Amino acid sequence: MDTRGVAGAISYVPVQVEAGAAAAGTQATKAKANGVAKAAAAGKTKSTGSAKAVRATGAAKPKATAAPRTKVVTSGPGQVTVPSKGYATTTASKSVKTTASSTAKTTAASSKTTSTSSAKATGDYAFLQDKTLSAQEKLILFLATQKKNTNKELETMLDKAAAQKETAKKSGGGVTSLFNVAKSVVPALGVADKLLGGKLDDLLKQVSGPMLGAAATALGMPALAPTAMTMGPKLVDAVLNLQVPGAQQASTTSSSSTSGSKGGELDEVELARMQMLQKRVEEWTALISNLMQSFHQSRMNVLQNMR
Amino acid sequence: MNLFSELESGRTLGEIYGITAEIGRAIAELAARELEAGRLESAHAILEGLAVANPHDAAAWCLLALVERRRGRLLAARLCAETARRLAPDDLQVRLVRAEVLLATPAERQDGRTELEALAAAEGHVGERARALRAAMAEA
Repeated sequence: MDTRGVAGAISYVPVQVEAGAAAAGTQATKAKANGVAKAAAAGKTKSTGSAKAVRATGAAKPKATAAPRTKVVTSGPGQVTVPSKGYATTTASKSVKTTASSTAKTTAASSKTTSTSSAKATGDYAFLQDKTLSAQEKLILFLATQKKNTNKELETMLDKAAAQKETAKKSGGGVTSLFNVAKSVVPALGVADKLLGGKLDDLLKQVSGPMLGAAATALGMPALAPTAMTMGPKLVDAVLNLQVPGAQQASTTSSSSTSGSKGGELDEVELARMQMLQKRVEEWTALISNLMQSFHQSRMNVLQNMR
Repeated sequence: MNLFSELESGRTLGEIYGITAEIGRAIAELAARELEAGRLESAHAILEGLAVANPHDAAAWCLLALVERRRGRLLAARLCAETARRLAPDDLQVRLVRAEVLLATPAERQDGRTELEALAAAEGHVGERARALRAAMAEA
């Protein structure tokens, strides 16, 4: 992917160190470097306290704050590695790809076309190849197929939700989905022992759901992303209070409320999806109905004119 | 296919909404400037959006690690730094940012020092910064 453009960026960190000082070689500059280094180690910035020593020897001209900063160059030379995926392709690269593919077209391409068309003919949309059907009929059939597919999807979701409910009942509740996402993401980073040990709840308080979802995608677990993304930061505290395993086993009353809330959290996502699918089915139905009415009307008009 | 399904299949919001690498890097640049100006919340909001739009961009995670560290959220900074390292393990800037995040965590300081030692030989601003930090740590 081609990236060019804007200049590099500099980000500041609290520790400021005079880098060139140690290299200068004189006693005075060494003293200066030591002074700054101590301050830096203590986590403070220092306004070169040993500058007097530098002046006394005359070895080097003291600089006020010429400390190097931590830079993250986002573009141009020396930029952070550009991702090979995740961004949309530019128009330019698209056209290059198209040209390349068009020039590479050989007899193999024609055989590919044949195989594609044969694949189409066996699919749900085979009717589109049917020459005996009119455009109107094809349109109606297309919409009906769409509606059928959406209905199927909805049914699958309902089955899945029912199965989830059953599993939750059997296991007597579980940990929250966000907690599960974090439990998957953190070990994938290879720092499970240091980061996971008792600090996962703290991590969830610091990291929002969308960010955790993004991390999951970056680590090759995109399936976890939607769940995490639906969880806003405000929900995290509430969820953690109910869902952290330690807290869950606190009392019988809390565990019963936990399973209820947990079901609620999952349902939020599932219900949103179902609602969307249901809306889509309704839209398809309305569209088909309107089209049929329109076709009927135009045919009636033709007949009336003939009379 | 709805948005959730698209995300589950591994596509990013950047791909879905047509955000190109140039736009992504321009956004990162904007966030870096906000960070430079000390507007951490603003930089955080921009970078979080960028990381969500394309989780495969190490620059976003790298900058986010810096922001989180400055906000005092060390665990979040660590998560971001580790994610960036996963995406670009050989990138010197990513390694430097991670080393600094490690240095900020008492339990991880030794790992941070080791990483700094490795980076000290590097050329450019990364090497310069690593050498300066190493010198500072030696005096601590």
